[in-house]
Amino acid sequence: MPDKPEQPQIDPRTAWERYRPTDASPWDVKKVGHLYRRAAFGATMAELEEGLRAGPDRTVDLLLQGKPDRDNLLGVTAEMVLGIPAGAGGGQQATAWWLYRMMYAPHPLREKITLFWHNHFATSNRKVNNAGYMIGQYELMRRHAQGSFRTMLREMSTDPAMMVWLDTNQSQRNQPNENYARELMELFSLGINNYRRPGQRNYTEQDIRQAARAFTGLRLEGGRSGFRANQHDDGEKTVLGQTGRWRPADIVRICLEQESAPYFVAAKLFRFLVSETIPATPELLEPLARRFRESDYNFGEMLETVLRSNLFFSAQVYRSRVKPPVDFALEIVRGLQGRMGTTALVTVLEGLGQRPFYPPSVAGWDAGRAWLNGQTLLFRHNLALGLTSTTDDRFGRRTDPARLARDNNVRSDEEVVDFFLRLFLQNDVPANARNRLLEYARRAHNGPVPVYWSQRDAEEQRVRAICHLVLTLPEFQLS
Amino acid sequence: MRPRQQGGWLAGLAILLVTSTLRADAPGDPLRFVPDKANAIFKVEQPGKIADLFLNHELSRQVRAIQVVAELYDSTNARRFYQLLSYFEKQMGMSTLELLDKLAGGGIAVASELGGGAPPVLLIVQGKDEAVVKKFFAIALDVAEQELARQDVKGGFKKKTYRDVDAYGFDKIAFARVGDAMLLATRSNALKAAIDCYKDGSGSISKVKALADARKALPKGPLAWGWLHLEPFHARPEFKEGIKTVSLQPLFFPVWPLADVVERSPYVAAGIYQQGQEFMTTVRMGSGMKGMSERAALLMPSAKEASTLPLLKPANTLASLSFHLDLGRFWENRKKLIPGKQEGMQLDQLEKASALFLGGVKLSTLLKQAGAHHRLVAVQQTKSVYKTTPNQPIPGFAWVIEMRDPEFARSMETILRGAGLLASTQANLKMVEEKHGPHKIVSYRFPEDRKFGNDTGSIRFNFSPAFVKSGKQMILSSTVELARELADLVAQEGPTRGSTASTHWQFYATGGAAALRSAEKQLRTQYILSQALSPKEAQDQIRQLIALVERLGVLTIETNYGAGDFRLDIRLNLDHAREARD
Repeated sequence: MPDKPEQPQIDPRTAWERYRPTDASPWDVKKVGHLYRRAAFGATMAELEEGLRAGPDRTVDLLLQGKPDRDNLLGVTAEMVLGIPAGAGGGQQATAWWLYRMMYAPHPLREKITLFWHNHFATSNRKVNNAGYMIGQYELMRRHAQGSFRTMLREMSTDPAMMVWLDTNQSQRNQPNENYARELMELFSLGINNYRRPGQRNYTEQDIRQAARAFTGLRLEGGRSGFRANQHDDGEKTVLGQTGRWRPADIVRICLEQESAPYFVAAKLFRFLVSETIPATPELLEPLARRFRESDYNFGEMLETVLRSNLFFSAQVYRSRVKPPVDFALEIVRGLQGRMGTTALVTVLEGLGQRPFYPPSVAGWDAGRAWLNGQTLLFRHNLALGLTSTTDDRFGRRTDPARLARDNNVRSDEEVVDFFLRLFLQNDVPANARNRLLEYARRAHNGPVPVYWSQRDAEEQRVRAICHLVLTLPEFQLS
Repeated sequence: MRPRQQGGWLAGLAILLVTSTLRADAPGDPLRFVPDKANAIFKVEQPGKIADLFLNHELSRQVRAIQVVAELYDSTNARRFYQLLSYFEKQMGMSTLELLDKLAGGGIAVASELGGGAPPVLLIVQGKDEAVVKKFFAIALDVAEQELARQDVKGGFKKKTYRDVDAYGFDKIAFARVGDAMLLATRSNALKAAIDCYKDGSGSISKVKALADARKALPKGPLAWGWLHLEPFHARPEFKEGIKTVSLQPLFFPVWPLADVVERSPYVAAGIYQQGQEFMTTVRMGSGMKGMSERAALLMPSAKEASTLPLLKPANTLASLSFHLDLGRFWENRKKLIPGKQEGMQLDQLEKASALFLGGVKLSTLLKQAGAHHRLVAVQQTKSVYKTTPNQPIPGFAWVIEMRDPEFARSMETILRGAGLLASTQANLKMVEEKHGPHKIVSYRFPEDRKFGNDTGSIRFNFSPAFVKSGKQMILSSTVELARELADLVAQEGPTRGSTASTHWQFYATGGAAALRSAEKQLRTQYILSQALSPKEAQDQIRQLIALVERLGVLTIETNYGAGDFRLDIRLNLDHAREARD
C-alpha cells in the first residue's frame, strides 16, 4: 500500500455520526466509488454519475434497500438451484451460482454482507461435500444478512452444513464433540480475550466442555437437522456462570449476554467495511457495540450506522484495504457492463486465493496484505488481460472495453484514458500515471499494425490495452 | 467433318489428354521429404474435402448454430483469422477453397521421430501450383514479420540458404519453400534432413516396408491417416517393461490379447473415412491370433464358438455392449493366467472363503456355471415404480450373462436373495416378486415414506434392483422396468447367432437425447451459469442441443482379431438417426 500522509486522530465521539458533505470533505465521485467498492462489487459509470447526483443519503439508501428485481433474478436463480447436484459433485456450480448472484442480483450489498458472514462462519465444502447444504447455509446468512444476528446465530447452530463442518452431527451424550462449542465462543460470538478488560479471557475450557454437552443429540435426517433425545445430554451444565439443563438455543443466548459479544461482532464488521489497519479500540467501537446490544443485535442497524458515518467516508479509511479477489474480478466485469457467465471465474478465483464456499480454515480468509504476493499479483494482471483483451476464450467478447467506450462516445486517446480512470479509479491517480497511459496511447498510434487489420481493429486494440493498463495500476488493487 | 462419328474417339482423346495432364501435373507425395528414420506420420490426403465437410456438412452447420460455438466463431481471434483469409484471398485473387487446393491439394503431412526427449516435428504442405505457392509464401512471410514487429519481437526471421533453398528461422522454428511444397520444422536439423531427403531422392520413409504394409492394410481413400512404426520400439527396454506390466497385472486382463498384438505388430495405423452419412475411423495392426501367446489366447474365443452375441436394444438405449469372456476357462487356467505365487494364494483363499459371502455357493462353481457371453446395456428410463422423482436422473443399466449351466441361475438367485435380505435390514428395502409373462422377476424397492441417510436429492429412487432368468440368459438390472423389457427382448431372440467381433459397442444418439431431456434442469443451470443466458435463451439452446444430439445417429465400435491382423473400427452413422426419427 502506498504511504499516506499523516492523518488526523479519530474522535470516537464523532466517528459514527452521520457524514455531511463539507468544503473540506465534499461529496464527490471518489466517495461514490469508495461506497460502491465497500458496500457492493464496484460501480458502473451510470451508478457513479447517479450517486454523485443523488448525494450520500440517497445513495446509501439505494444500497441498503437494493433495486427492484425487475428481471426476477432471485426467482430464476432460486430455480437454478434445482439443477445443481445436491451432493458431492455440485461444488463448482454452487460457487458459480453464488458469484452469479453477486454479479447480477439487484441487491449487491446483501450479497456482500452475506460474503462477510460466510467469512465469519467460514464453512468449507471441502469437508461438507454437499452443495445443497452449502447453498442452504448461504440462504440462511442472506436471510439474516441485514437482520438479527441473534436469530442467525441460533439458526446456524442447527444448520446442516455447519453440523457437518463442526461435527455436531456426530456429537452424542457419552462423547460430546467440542468443535462447535469452541468455535461458537472463539470465532462466532465472543473471541478469546475480553475487549473491555485486557488480559481477561472470555471463557474457559470448562465452559467449552459444558456447552458441548448442550449440542449433543443433533442429527441430520433426510438433509435436515433433527434432534434425538436419547443422544442428548439432558443434565445440568454450567456455562459462563449460568447453570441449567441447557439446549443449543440457551448456549447462544448465554454467549450473547456476555459483555464481549457486541464488541466482537462490531470489530469484525469494522475490519470488513472500514479498515484492517486502524486499531479497533474499545473506545472507538463502544458507540457501535452499545447500540448493537440495545437493539437486540440488530445487525442491519449497525451496518447502516457504519455506512453513513464520518469515519467510513474519511481520508483514513479511503483505499486502506487490499481489494479481495472476488471484488477485484467482479468490479472489472460490472464496470465494463459485461454479460458473462461465472463458471470460468471459479477456477480463476481459486488461483487468486478466494473461492466462495471454500474458505481455507475455520478462521476464514487471512485477507489484507495476504491477498497479494508475486504469484497472485501476476494472476490478477492475467485476469485483467483476459477480461479486457476479448481474445481469451473463457470470457470472449462479453467484457469488451472498446464496445463500452464506443457506447459512451469516447474516442480520442485522452478521452479513453480519462474514461477508464474515472470508471475504475475515479481519476484519483498520480499525474504521472495518467501521463504514462497517454504516452502508451501515443506510441501505440505510431506502432506497426498487421496489414489485414482494419483501422477500427487497431483503435479497438488500443482501447482494450489502455483499459488493461488502468486495471494493473497499484491503486486498483486497493479498496 | 462427321462430328457424330468422330465424337467417340475425340472424347477418348480428350479423356486421355486430361488424364495425362493430370498425371503430369499430379503433385509429388509430401512423404518424399520425410527421412526414413521418422517413426510417426499423420497425413491429410484430402484437405479440400475435409474443409468442405467442415464448412458445408449439415451436422457442422448445426454445431455452429449452438450459441457457445457460434460465439467462438464470432470471437476476436476468429474474426482476425477470417480477416487474414480475406486478405490472402484478395492478394492471391482466388477463394479460400481454391487457394487451399492450390496450396495443399497434394496433402498435408506431419512426421516425427518419437521416443527420445522432445521429438522433432516436420510439417509438409504439398501444393499443386508452384507459382501460387511461391506468391503465397512471400506474402505469408511478410504478414508474419509484421506480426512479430507488432508484438515487439526483436530480430524478426533469420534467412539462410541450404542447398539452394532459402530457409527462414525464428527461435527454434525453421521453414522453407521447396518448389511447390512448404516445409516447417521445430528444429533446423529436421528441415535440413527433409531438404537432403528431397534433393538426394533417397532415404525417404516411402520405402519403409512397415509403412507400405500399413497403407495396404488400411482401406482405400482415407481423408487422413496416421502411422506409428512399432519395430524400433520393440527393442526398447521401457516399451518391453510397459508391455510386461500390462500383461502381468491381473486387473488389465481384458487387454492382454491387445498387448500381445502390440508386442508383435510392426506398426499401428489408423485411417479416417467418410462415405455419405457414415464416418469411420479404423485402427489396424499387422499381427493377430496367429503367433499369439498361449496365455493371451486363453482369453479369446475358440475357433468354433461365436465371439459376441447380438446387442440388446431396449427403448431409449444409451449404450449397448457385447463381449466375450469365458469365466469358467479363466478359473480353470488361473495358474497359467495369474502365475504369481502370492496372487495364486489369494485366489485360493478367496475360493475357500467365497461360500461364506456367496450364500453357500463357491466362487469356482459360480464361474464355471457362467457362460462366456456377456452383454451390458444402459438406458434412459422414462418409467419408474416410484412416485418420487430423483433430482438427478441416473440411467438404468443391466448385465445379461449367458448361462453355461442352468444351475447358474439357482446359484445367482441364492446369492442375490442373500444380498437383498442384508440390504433390506440396512436400508429398509422391500422385496417384491412378480410374474411377467413366463418370467419371475425379483426386485427390491426403497420405501417412499421414510428418510434415507443424507440422500437429499432422492437419488435412491433411480434404483429398484432386479434379477430375472430368461431362457439361457440371466439378467441383473438396476431397475425392474429394464429387467421386464430385457426379459421380453431376450425371450424373443430365439437361437442367437453371434458375430466374430470380440467386443461390440453401440452408442445411440436417440438415447443420449432422451438422457439430455431428462436432465434439462441441470443443463439449464449450466447454460445460465456459463453463458449468462436468460432462462428462455437457455431453454432454446437446450432444444438445439437435443436436436443436434438426436441427429448424431449410432456410434459403433468393434474389435476383431483376425489370423494375421487386428482391427478396431469406430463408425458414426448419421443415417441411423434419420431412420429412427422417420
